[in-house]
Amino acid sequence: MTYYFINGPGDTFEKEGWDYIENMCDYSPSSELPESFGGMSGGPMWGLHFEVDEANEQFKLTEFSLVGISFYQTAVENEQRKLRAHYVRSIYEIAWIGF
Amino acid sequence: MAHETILKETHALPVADVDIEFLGPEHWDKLCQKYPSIAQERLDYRISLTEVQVIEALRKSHYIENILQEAQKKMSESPETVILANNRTPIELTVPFSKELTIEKLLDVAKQTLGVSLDWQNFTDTRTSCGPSISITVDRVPQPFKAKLADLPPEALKKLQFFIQLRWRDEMETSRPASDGEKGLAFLRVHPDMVVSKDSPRLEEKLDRGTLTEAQRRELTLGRTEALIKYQMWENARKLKPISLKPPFAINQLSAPKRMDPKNLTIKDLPRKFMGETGQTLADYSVALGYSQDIKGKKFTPIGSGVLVCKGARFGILTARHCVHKPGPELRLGTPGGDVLFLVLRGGRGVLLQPEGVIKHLLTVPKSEEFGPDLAFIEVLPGGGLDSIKAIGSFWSLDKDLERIVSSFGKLGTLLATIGFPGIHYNTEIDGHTIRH
Repeated sequence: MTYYFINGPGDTFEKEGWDYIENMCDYSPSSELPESFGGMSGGPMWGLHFEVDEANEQFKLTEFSLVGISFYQTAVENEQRKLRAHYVRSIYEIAWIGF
Repeated sequence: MAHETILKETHALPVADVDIEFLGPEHWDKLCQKYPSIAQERLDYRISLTEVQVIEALRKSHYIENILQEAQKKMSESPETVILANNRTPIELTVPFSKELTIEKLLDVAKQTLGVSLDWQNFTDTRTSCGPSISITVDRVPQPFKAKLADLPPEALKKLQFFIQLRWRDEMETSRPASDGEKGLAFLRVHPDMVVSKDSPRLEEKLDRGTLTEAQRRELTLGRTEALIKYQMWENARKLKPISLKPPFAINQLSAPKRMDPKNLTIKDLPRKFMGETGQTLADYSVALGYSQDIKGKKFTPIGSGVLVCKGARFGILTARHCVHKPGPELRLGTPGGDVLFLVLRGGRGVLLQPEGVIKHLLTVPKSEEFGPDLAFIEVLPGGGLDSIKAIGSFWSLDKDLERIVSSFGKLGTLLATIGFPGIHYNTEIDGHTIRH
């Protein structure tokens, strides 16, 4: 399954030397999101660049990059939940120190 | 009237009447002047749809791709903006449409956008049922489904209404499960004031069909159904109004700009085709992970997701540490007799990795469940397993220029895709050499 988000203000942060990114999920009554993202743990988060052909309203993926690894979901509160992932520096650099 | 209703409700609370003060219209007038945008927002029920949303509504109505493309072409070649009111709520839809499109398609757009279901609703206590009949009307006259907007006189286009008529039966609808009715009743018990009729029996009272006249059953059934439909319409409208949008849509403006400017893009603007194609591209790198304590891997347990990566000359799977180690299952990898790792790759193709063909590297030492750090690398050693994976999927290099990735993909507004395999979607069986997903 692929879930799309947009990187918003405050979504990325650092804590004790590791960087993180969080995505907010809407759990209002008509939400089609799964009850749990349990099996998503370890899955990749990709950053996407794309072009839009205005004339034909066609979207085309032009570039993408691995930017995160999901590992935690918060409880649903006020019809919202966060998906937390390790972000770019953690997965490209920090995790491999001493490897 | 409003005062009486408020006092009546407060009698159920430990609040004395003398402690309740009613502020006059001047107070509310001052508030409206002080907070004009909030007041205006509360009274503005017009919702502007985008062309993408219109096409998506038609797609949900099960039109085939050719018809959708034709509709899009007509909307582009002979555009016509339609204001569509309805007879149940003050909500007005502003619909980018075309005079060359039919009334039927406009009806489908309204039905999907406002979430009006044609299913009949059973009410188990009164043993009655009710369902809507819908049409597009002009001055309350239903218009033919096959008529094009161009067939209507110009002044009629200003009077279009999404008309919902309720029909009831003094018996249950046998084709619908009784549980549907229970859900509706449960909702109405929580929101009893949504039932319009003031003479309706209170829902917390146990209703006995035999004590109600047919007229009472009719009124109650119609009132309840209308309440449920109106609630659904408001819920759908609420999601379409930017003020009530919640993250991840909060940073988006649902009334999308005419120009498809990526900077102003919203998640809801993303065409399904684009999302599907992007998902396919990224699936090359994605894996679902499972393991088996049986060497033949007949019975496997799903454990999470991962991504195929390479670091230097090493190939493997980057995942969350808890997927392969405590507090999750502690996989025995690296030596014969351990656990068999099972990967589901692009297109649902499976690869079994024997324990001696992989090494588990715990990249982090977690300090907490919430923040980890929580990463592990399962190295796949050169051999049959690695070749099989390479034949199906692709490995993402972690040796790329980190600073370029940060500067290029770390900007606010960057579109992100999270890929994985939520547990509820697992349904894999292994039978001999056959793997079913």
